[in-house]
Amino acid sequence: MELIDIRGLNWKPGSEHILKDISTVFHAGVFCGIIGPNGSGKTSLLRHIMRVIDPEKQVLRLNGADIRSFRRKSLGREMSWLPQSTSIDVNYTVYDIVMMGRIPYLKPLQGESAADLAIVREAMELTNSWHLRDKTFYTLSGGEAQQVIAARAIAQDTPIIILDEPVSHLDIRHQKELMETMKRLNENRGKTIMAVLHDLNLAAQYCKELILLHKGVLFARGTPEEVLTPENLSEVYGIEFHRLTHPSTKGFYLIPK
Amino acid sequence: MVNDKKRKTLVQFLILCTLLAASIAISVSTGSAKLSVWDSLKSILGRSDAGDVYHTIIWEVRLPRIFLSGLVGAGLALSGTTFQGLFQNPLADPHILGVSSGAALGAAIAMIFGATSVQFMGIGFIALCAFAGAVITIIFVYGIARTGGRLSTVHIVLAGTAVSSMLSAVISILMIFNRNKVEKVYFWTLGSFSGTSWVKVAFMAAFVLLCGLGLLVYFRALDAMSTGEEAAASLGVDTVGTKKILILTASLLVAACVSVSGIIGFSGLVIPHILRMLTGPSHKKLLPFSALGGAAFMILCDTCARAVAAPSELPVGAVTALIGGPYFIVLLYRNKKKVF
Repeated sequence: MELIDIRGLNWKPGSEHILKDISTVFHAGVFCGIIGPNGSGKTSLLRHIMRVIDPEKQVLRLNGADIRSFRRKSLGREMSWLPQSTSIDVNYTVYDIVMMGRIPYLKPLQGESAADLAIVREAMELTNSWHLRDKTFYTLSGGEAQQVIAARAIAQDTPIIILDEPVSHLDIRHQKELMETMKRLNENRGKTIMAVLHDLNLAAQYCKELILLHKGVLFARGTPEEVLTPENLSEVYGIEFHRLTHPSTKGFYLIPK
Repeated sequence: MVNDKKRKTLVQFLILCTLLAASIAISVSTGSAKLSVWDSLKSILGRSDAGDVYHTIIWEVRLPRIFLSGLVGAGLALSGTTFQGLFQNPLADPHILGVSSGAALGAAIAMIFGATSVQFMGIGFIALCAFAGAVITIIFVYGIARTGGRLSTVHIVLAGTAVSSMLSAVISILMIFNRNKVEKVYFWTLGSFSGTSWVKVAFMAAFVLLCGLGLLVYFRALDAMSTGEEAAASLGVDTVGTKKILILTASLLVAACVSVSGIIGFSGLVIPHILRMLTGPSHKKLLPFSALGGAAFMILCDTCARAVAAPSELPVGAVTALIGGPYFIVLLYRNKKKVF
């Protein structure tokens, strides 16, 4: 059975379609990238999958059931979210923030158990943020903050992790560390990763599958090899690309002409 | 680490309880009839040898007033905490949604047109009308904000502000045509705890307990919401449902507070900030701690209000701002951390 099954997803909040007749499936355990220019509908697609926006009935299915039949709390046990950046004005500590990842598992007024504490600690160690635990969240650098929010998503312990341009604001080392963490979660723990990415080379390097959106339409889908062709890219982005063989990995990389 | 945190929380809790007990002791022994703390205590425990007059003063005058002011202080602090967390807005206070203006209009109408001698189960006509005005305003504001489906935070705050201004305008116009009632209405809006009865205390206690528990059940959702709505939704919080329940519960609590005491400003805004600075932002602690701190603060303010210029009384709303303001400014100045 498909993990996520989308059949004919349309979204037209104003006079124009943002998403047009998108049909596709996502299988469990995939590391799938969603790419496309600004305004092509990437984030809108994610927001439907997360049900921040309600799709039409029976259009979007999760584990075979209409996503609209899920309660919010049970969705919180299915998928977690790592946005581009997070600003929190209130003076929560890093530890408080990561502990919020356990909300979907806790009843009202129920205290956190030793198991919750262990899960939080492990998640923070996975993203190298345990040493930040007593700091106030808003004092962190952008890179540290993203490590912490990634730890929160990991502490949420969901089969699906949704990344919305997770590395756009990060320096190159933090970019690599975050993507490597996600890769390990995908390979070692079978997490399904769905990531909106702007960096096509990053997408080519980490994703096993890509979806290319263009003006709200699913333009191409397949392996990075199949999707990231100079023809597809020039059609969608409106500029020409060189596709070169990587000198050490024998994969390919792209540079604009 | 966890045990350290628990111990710290317990110490903070005990300090707040001590503060509350001390404020009650100070208040009960302050007033025109000179009574020491010790005599008052003996009288409360029924072992008084000071005579029946003191017993009456304490049981029928001072204690109901102390309890009522404490409960209102707790109620305002609880709702202020909730609104600040929910709207992610450090300027949110219990009066932000116009509930208090509705209460004021209700009270004004009662004073102008009403038979002020009418009572219902020991609660005065003015308080009843104020409560009705507040509840109608909640329904009205909530109805406006809900159109469009998602109950957006910006929408509800704007709707509250607009309705509040409209109601204040209506009150002003009513005043112009009823100049002989201006003073009475004006003093009502400044807030006061004079003329308290045990019935009002019971009424308020029911609201603080029920609404306070109702808010506390949502402490985790409130934590998540105060870090952003979309993040809260991704953490499995039903943001729309949570907003509905929290807004209605907190507003109802404000309605009860305002109807028995008038519009007391400042404490509902500042007490949550002070407690957030001193004990941290987690709502599991912040809600009960704000309630305790708000109660102690209001009791002290009301004691000042009735003692400083005795036999006349200062409006308690003025005292809250005069005492709380400087303390808050000192805290702001000394606290290097961000406030909210």
